[in-house]
Amino acid sequence: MTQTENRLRRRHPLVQTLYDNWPYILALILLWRFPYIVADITNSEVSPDSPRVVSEAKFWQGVMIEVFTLGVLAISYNLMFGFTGLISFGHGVFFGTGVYTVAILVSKYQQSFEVSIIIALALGVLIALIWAMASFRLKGVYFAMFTLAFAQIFYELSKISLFDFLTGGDDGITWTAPDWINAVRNRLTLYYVAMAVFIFAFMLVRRLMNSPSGKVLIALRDNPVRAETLGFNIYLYRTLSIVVSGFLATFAGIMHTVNFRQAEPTALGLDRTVDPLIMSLIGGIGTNPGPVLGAGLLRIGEQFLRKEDLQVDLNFIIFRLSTTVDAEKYWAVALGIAFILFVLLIPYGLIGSLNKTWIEIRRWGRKYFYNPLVRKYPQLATWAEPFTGEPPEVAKALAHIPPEHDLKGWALVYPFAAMNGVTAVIGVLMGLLSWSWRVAVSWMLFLLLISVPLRIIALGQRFQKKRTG
Amino acid sequence: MDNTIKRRPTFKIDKNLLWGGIAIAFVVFLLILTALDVNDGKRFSQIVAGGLYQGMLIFMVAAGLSIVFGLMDVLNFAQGSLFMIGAYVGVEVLSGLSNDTKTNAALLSIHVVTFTPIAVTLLVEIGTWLFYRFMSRQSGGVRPSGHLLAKLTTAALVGAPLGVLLGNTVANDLGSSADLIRVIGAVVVTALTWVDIARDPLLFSIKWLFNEISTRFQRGLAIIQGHQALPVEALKYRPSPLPENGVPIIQLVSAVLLSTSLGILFNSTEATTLRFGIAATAAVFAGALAGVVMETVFIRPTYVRPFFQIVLTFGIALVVREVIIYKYGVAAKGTLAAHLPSTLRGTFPPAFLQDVFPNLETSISNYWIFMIMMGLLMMIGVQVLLMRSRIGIIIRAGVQDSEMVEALGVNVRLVFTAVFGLGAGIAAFGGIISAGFISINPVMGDLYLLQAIAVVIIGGLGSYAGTSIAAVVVGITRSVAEYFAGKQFNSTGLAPVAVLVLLCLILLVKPSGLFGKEH
Amino acid sequence: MSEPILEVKNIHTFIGQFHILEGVNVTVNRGEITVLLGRNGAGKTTTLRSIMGLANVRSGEIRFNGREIRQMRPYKVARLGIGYVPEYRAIFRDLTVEENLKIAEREAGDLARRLDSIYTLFPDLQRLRKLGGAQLSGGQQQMLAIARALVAQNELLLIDEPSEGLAPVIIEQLMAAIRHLSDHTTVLLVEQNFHMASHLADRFVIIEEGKSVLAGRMADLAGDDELISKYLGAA
Repeated sequence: MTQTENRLRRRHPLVQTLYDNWPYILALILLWRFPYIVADITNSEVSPDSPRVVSEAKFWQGVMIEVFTLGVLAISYNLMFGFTGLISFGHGVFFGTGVYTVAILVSKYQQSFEVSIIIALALGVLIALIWAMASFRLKGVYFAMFTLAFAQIFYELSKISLFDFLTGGDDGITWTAPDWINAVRNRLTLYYVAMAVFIFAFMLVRRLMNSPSGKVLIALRDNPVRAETLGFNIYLYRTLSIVVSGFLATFAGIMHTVNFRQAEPTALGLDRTVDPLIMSLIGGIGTNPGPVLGAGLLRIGEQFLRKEDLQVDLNFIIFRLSTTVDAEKYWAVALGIAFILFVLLIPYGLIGSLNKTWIEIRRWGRKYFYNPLVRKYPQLATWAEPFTGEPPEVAKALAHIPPEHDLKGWALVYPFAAMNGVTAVIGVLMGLLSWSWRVAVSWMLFLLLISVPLRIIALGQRFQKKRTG
Repeated sequence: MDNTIKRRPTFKIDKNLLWGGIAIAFVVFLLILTALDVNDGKRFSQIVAGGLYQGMLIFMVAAGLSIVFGLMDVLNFAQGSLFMIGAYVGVEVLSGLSNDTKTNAALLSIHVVTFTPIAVTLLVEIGTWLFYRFMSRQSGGVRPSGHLLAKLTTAALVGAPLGVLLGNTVANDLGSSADLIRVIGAVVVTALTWVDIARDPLLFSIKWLFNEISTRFQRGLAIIQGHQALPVEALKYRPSPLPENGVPIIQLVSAVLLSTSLGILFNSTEATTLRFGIAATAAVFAGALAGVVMETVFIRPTYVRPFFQIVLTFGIALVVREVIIYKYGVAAKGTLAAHLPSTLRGTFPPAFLQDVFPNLETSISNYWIFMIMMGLLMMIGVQVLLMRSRIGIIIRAGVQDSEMVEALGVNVRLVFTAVFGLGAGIAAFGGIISAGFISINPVMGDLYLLQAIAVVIIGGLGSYAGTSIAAVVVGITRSVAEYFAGKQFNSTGLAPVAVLVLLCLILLVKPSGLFGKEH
Repeated sequence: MSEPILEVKNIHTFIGQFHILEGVNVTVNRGEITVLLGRNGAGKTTTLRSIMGLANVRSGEIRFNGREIRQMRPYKVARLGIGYVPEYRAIFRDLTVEENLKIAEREAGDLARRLDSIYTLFPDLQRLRKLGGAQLSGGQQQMLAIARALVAQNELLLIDEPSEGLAPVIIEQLMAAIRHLSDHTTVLLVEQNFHMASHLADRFVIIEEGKSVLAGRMADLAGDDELISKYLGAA
């Protein structure tokens, strides 16, 4: 062990960080240069002068914006299901809140875009708080049913003609996004903004999961009873997970509606749960990069499969199909089958299986691990299979988290506080991009807004029993 | 010192009774509210019957959901798909039957050969049971082997009048192949009836014969090998275990009676009824098969990963929906109303009853009544199965502790599969039944699944009686909500919202449901 | 009579990732009562569960009548002729007494054949036969649990802590019943109550921290206060 520590100490921290995160840094550079790389490959304009022209490069920017949107949604879903073990069948309600609030406020009530975003996010957090309260009482399947029913209520309401004046019924709403972020006129800007939001979401969840609080979340998933007997206030941690997840899903909804400039009932439907679920499963549930990878693979794969006319003859395989396969329909069936196969055969997804193999190899070979937390608490090195219901090593590792660590007061806003810098930077960036001080200010206002209800919850913690473990 | 402990008088109310009472009071309250508002007997009867039939359809999806969850802790999201599979298989079979005369004939004969004997045997068994339950007190309720008298009575009292009543009174449009089928059917049914009636004495005599031969063989062997022969008792006269004289003649007579009445029954059956029966049978078997495959292939490997199980059934539902969209398109396919037997197409009360009771202010589609009856039949049938049969005992015990059941020597996994198949079969039956009235589309399963989940949770996960009651509650709630929403807001789309709100409230107030056990 | 009916050799059992049994050896001779002794959490119950196939036995050997049963599913083990009476009297609370007995039938008519002898052994049950399992007292539940194991033709009974939480009078009744049924079957007993164990058993096995540490004739142990206090605390 001392040998390893010496080897670790030899590197400069910055170098070590870069070394640890090389795949992410590579991905970041690629994403940053992506519009130009595609433009070079397809020999087309990055952003054509006339907004009517959709060049190849511009088209792929659109696809990537969708990937970012779905990525944020999948990250949010994974935080709740993969890391905390709360099954949600109603993520559509957050997504739809983002979509509908912005669309309604901008088109029907002539509110400014920025204010609408903030109200949408606040509403998303509010709904998350309701869910959190439900999660205090409901466990497992019951909570899943609650989320399903909750989301379906909004889905049904969005469809009926009674609220036509607000939601536009089955047809939905069409609205115009501000110029600077408009997917038709300024898609390149939208691309970078979406990318920034996506990176924000990724870093937020990654930071959270690498913090001791994140380990408590994992313990909640694997063995809630044990986490509770160790003295953690599991309700507070559940709230944390649901609020962050709801916040991110709402953000994804906003990105979606900005990209497509419309709102329709499907945004609230079950598909918004199924999509991130499949993505997380394929990428690797309970891992950080998994859902993102899943989102990218699915959305881009779908693009290729739908673009090429699929000349597959399935006549002899399953159905008595005629000659060619309608790629559009085939995609949905194939996706479902892939989904089932993944659950049955590769339940931990691509990244999860990779991690598992990798850790096994590491166990044999080297003696140290890149993850700083694992370095600190070597017990984490053993791969804990999620969802097996067996007491995993992670729960054991909880004992090694300093006893004074628990969410206290502002600590619930901890991930937000940790990301304050990033948020501020994004705010300033958005302000600069739109030449509007209002945007920058509204971001700060938003931070204030979101912290108030969290603060209220956190206050309640003072009356909780002190930690006994 | 006084040693007696003073007991406080306790007012203990049976919890189940209390919640059942509340549920019934809720339904009654809703109905009174509606009745006060409607002031129109016709409309009111439609609201009540509409609520009931919806409740029954929901129940058919929920029954499997409830039992499967209680026994295996699997919340099967694909139950709605099984419902849908039932409907689509029914459509496929019905359209195939009405288009192609060859398949038509073949399927009819299959139906005649398989389905009817089962029905007949059931009829006979029920009759036997009734006979020994109520008529022969002196035998102590114990059934003697052979039970000929009972079968005779059944044949005479049930079979013959049915044959006479139905024979030739209804038009038959089977065409030229009809006679052949009828002959085959009559022969097969006669043979099967014979086997059924003669089963016990036959088995007895076969055993006796086998015993006789083996004893003689052993004795011979012993002699050859030079051992001492078997004791004299082995050669002593044993009375023949065959039934007393005269019995075979009675058997013959009963068989003839039965098959004759059945022949008449076949003769009289309307072809649409047969077709619908075949479609329903096919749907039930397809659904049950799908359920069994689902359990063995997909769910069995994931019992150790409960989280993934839900996700998996979810995925199965997705695939089934997409496959159906792939094959049939997104558009709704319409109902099976055109294929229904004529008796189911009218309204209740029929004209002659209206003449007799001119004040009867009801107008309900016969088909609704049919659906309600089928739902009740399923409800009671499964209840009887759970309470009376051995598999029912195993299921109820397994709900509490399936590990212990296995330790007693019961192959629990097999029971799991069977129960899954049973639930799937009931759901598929609900699907084909609903298809007679409700337009078939690829999301019909999802709609009913949501309501069924609401029913299962309101009734209490794992409680079958709770599910039955909650189905009626939800059906009526939906129907009443539909009425009021239509009247007040001119938007019937609020009805499902009412059910979902009810579900949310129940979850938050009493998560274990009305009859569920506290966790 | 010293022919072994059950041989457990060096089994290692895991619950989740925890190594519970780390080498347990038990031999049960036909027609005798063998008792597993040990402190709480030593692994006695897990040993019984391992024999029944209800626990994850990763290595070792379990032979019943010379036949390896380690990897068998529990229902197959039961059908070979092993009856299991679990801890806490796991009777089915929603079933009546009769149904509780009926579920243990392996062939039709099993119950009818043995009902009389069961009711002779436990006369209470006949009176209570229509009652629900939840309505029985602790002693009656224990009797029902043992009766349930007698319905099928079993050569070996595994009985887990029958005396737990019962009044001394009931324990006396139970001891009489167990002694009576041991005339026909072999019994492997787990018992904390040393008084009961010493009066019933022919042989003992002491399990400590997942290992079997001592085995022998009960008569030898009963006289040795030093051993008793060493392994079992105050007797």
